[in-house]
Amino acid sequence: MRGVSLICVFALTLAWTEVCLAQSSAFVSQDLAIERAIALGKSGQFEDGLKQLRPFLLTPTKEDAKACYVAGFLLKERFKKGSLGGDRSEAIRWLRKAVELDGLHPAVASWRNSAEKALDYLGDTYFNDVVLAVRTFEPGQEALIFELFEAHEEVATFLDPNLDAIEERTEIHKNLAIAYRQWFEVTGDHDHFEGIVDQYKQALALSPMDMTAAYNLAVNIYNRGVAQITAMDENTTLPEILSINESSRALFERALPWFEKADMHQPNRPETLRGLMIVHHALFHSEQEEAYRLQLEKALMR
Amino acid sequence: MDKRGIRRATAWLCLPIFAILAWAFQAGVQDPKLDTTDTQLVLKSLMLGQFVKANQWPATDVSETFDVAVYDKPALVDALASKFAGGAIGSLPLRVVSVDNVAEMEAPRLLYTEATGPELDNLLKAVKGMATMVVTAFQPSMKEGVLINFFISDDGLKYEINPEEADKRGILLGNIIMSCAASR
Repeated sequence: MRGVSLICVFALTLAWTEVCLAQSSAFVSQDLAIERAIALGKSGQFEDGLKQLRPFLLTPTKEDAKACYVAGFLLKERFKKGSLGGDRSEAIRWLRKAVELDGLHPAVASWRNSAEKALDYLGDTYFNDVVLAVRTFEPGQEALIFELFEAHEEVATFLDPNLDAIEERTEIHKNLAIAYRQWFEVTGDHDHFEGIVDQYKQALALSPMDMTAAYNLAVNIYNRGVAQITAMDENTTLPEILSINESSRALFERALPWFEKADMHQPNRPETLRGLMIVHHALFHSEQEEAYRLQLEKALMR
Repeated sequence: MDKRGIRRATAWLCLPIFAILAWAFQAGVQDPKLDTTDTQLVLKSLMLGQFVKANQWPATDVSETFDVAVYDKPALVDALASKFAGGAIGSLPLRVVSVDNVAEMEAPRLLYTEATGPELDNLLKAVKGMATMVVTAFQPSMKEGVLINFFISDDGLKYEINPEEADKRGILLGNIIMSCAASR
């Protein structure tokens, strides 16, 4: 009986030792694979480096966090070298996975900071793409621009869950409104004008207290009314003058509440008071024009 | 590369990024500039120009020019002159004149004024019985002697006419002027 027990204990010990050895050899082989992947990456052989890591990326656990990090890093480096855009999203996917898995360990890994920096860099490249896309904007590309922005926002909020991207999003709408204005100035297309209005309204929906969005919206609408009037000349017939008079007045009336909103958000701002005075003048509201003229005088004296 | 060199290289690399970011937030400023054109002046000048072009005045041997007089509104004189001066009405060259003294006023074909009360009465007296189209603005009602009066409606600037006054002064109102006139 005692002999049997001893045999059992021996067998169990043997089995445990084998498990431990197997595990340790797995770690050794993972470490080796990671080292090889890093070396290959340094020499620009990114695909070969990624091949070394693939067995650890199938169903990664917390023990594979570093492999995920190195895979993400290699993909990021390949993206930097000018590869296709797919590497960027894949790089982000693996770097995020690495940071998430590392979070399951009690201690923070030595590479964690580098992973976060890499994520930050990749997120910024999306933002740079947003800026370039707005710069070369063509009407109808809004969805694409916001897709890029959302990719940036996703990374940024992953790194800082308390981050509020509303301000950045508002600025994009305001920049798109400017882009639409530039288009409108060239084409005179009504849809492009409505694009200006729509983008500023979206900016205001996000940031209702944004004074510049309200003021710029008012100015754009008002200026369109003025442009209709100044486009007339001595050859414009009386019925045309009366018709343009009506349409420009409708624009002045449309601009007025946005000037008032801008004034509400930042009272006594001279530019806004001047806008209010001028729009009331255009509407032949002589009493209000005079009231804002006095307010403007006071504001300028301060 | 020493540390200073690295720092300088980093700064140069960062410059385009700062430029892009600065651009990204340009929407924070005013865009575009408010157009400060005086729309009232433009509208009035265009309508007055049409009043001049679309009616018929009795022939005269006295005048060598077709005078449009504007009382006490030098800015409107400029607006009118920039659009219509140099043109001709029939065989007479059109001239836009600024008037601030009624006594010095030569009988114009069209007189525009925003004067009210006794000031307006004096002006009307000065051109009484002449072939002068008197155009006023924002009078509560058509005053005797006035042929056209601007008023504001919900749709903007409109004008009302007094055809009897036109008859009295020998001015034949054009169809367009008649058909576009409004009433309060």
